Amino acid sequence: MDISLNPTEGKDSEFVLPGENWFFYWKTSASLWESKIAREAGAGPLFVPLYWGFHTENAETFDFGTLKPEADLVRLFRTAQQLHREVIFLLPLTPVPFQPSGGLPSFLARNPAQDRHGMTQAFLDAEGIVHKVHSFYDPRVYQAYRKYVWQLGQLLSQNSVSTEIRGLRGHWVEGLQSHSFLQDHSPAFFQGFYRFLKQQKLPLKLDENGQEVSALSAEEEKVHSARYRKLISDLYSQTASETLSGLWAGEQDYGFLGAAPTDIFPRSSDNWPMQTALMGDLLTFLDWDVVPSSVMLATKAKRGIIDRFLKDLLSHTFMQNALQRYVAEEADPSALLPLVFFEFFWDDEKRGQAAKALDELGLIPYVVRDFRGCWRWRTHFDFNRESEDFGPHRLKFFFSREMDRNRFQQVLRLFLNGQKIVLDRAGLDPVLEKKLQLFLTENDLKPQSINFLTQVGLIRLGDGMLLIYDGDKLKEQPAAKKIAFWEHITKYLNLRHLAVRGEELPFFVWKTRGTGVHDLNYDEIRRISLYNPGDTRLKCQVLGSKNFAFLKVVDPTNAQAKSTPVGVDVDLMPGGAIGLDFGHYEDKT
Amino acid sequence: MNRESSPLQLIFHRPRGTDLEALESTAVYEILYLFSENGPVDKETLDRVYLSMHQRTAQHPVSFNTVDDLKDFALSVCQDLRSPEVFVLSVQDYNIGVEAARDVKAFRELFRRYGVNIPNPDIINKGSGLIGRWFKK
Repeated sequence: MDISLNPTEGKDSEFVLPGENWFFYWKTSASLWESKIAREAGAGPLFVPLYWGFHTENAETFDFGTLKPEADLVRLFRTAQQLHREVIFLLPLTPVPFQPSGGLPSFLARNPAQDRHGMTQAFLDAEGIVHKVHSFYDPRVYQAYRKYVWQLGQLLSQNSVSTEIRGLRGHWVEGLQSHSFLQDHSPAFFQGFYRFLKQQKLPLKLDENGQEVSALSAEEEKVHSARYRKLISDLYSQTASETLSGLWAGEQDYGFLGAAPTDIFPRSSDNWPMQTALMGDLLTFLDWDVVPSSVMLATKAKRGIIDRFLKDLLSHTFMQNALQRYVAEEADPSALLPLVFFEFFWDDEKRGQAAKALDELGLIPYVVRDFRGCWRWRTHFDFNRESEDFGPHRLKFFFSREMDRNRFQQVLRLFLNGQKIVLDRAGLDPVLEKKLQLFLTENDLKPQSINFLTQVGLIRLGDGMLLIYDGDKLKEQPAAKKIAFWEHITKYLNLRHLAVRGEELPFFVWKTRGTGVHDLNYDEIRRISLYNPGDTRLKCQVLGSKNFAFLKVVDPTNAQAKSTPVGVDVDLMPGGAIGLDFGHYEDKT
Repeated sequence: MNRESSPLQLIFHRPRGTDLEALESTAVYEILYLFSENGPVDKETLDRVYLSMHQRTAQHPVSFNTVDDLKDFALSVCQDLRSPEVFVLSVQDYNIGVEAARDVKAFRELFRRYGVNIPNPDIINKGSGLIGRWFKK
């Protein structure tokens, strides 16, 4: 399918409200704000990403409507208020691909951000404009950012603007990994990084030009550069949260479709098919717990299967859930939300190693086969959600090599609070090992010991479960045995799910909802939504299983489903999509 | 995917950390991207062309000791795919070009304006126009 961009096509509104209720106020006249919001914005909150570069042209003066009416954020807020619309201001904490210079004012756009090969990071927005993002690692950028955020805070408080401000952290996808827009290999980054290494008393050497550069091994450099990136990320985040504390509602991770640094090549072509790649990116964003955004894509590019997927997924409930992360999923039992069984906690600084490490344990091959799309990477060790009994069926995987004392204590607390924890004890610090033994003794907990490929210890306490295994021993096993290990574990824990099989599988997501009076006697309803963005017909089978009943077909488009004695056969034509509902019940004892 | 008659674009770089000591023994120019307006050139094509040129299998990313070797390879791929020409850019050339590109139209022109153009003589010589005659000289 052709998804080329043609700047001459598309209406003005398409660029002002480019998707998911995002409002680009700088792209239209302030006199048109009211009519556009009233007529063209969808239901739910209006998301307004703030454009720093639009409000200042030098280090000292700021324009919030004095010179340009379109820069008047107070007027925008009041306009939305009069229309009874909730506004959420999104303050970028990273460069963003949909604003010139990544959002920076032009006087600060001196250091283009670069990818790992030294290529300038450039992006095509929905209008076909090329944006080059600029580095956030230039100390002048941070100094100016502080002033901007302070001015913004003053403006909002002096005008009694009482709305939410969220920090926007931008991401893009490469392969199966989500990357931050703070990932930057520009000279500005390296200058800061080498200063950081020097402060940390880590080894440096002189290059051929007599400049100090890292003398670390490639692996060590990766770890420390990630640590430095995290430090800078936290710096911007803390500055914003402290300065705007009254209105600050936390950070939100957004993934921009079509905004990987290399996406500019296919997107600048008329003939390069991208639908399949975009679908893959969408699912990867979900795996990384990042809210997908289509604001970089022109309407023409979203037509068809991408549009269907976005509408299926980014429901009002999904967005509310993503924003108000502390609200329990059960808040609206009739709302479909992504079905998640596993959460893999992994240090953000080492996210590049996560997939490989879990692959070696056989976990990735297993979940890809039997629980595709039903896991999330969690790179922030924040457990606020868990305090609300969020997703009690979810298994939380922790890896001892990622543990310090603080995290370890948090994990034990989660277990005491009724969460289900799977802990790889390989690499556990001896001090923490002692702490674990003490914890078990103090709480009079005796692990049930099972010897299957590795020594497995299982402890139950109320609803809580702690399963401990040795990942180093498991890694040594053949691939099939590792998968069998996880099969046994999930079977033992009664994790029931329907398998999807086929030679070439379509893209699919599973969602779940509670039951109502019209849903017979099921415990939950699960929906699988299948999509074929490619140009060949795809067939697959959702295998039937005890404890599940096929209920109905939902919104088939160029697709068919047929119930058979072994499951449901699905036939998707190119561009086809279909949903299938299954009722799930547990055996009553 | 039919890539016939569509020009190719190649971006290469010299990996960071390649120092002078390593220059003589190590391949230092890596192909980062090789594509046409229809999509990337597939790995099988790269492997096939590399094998026929060097009588050994290619390592990925495909790399060369000199820019001339890299250009020879680009031309061979161009001939294999019957593309009329290939534009070869270093990352530095690309960065200069992209800095000046304001919109998608300018971006599309970037390779033609800032790249080294290598025409495919198999296609050009077939032409009866001025360019064909020029190449036959």
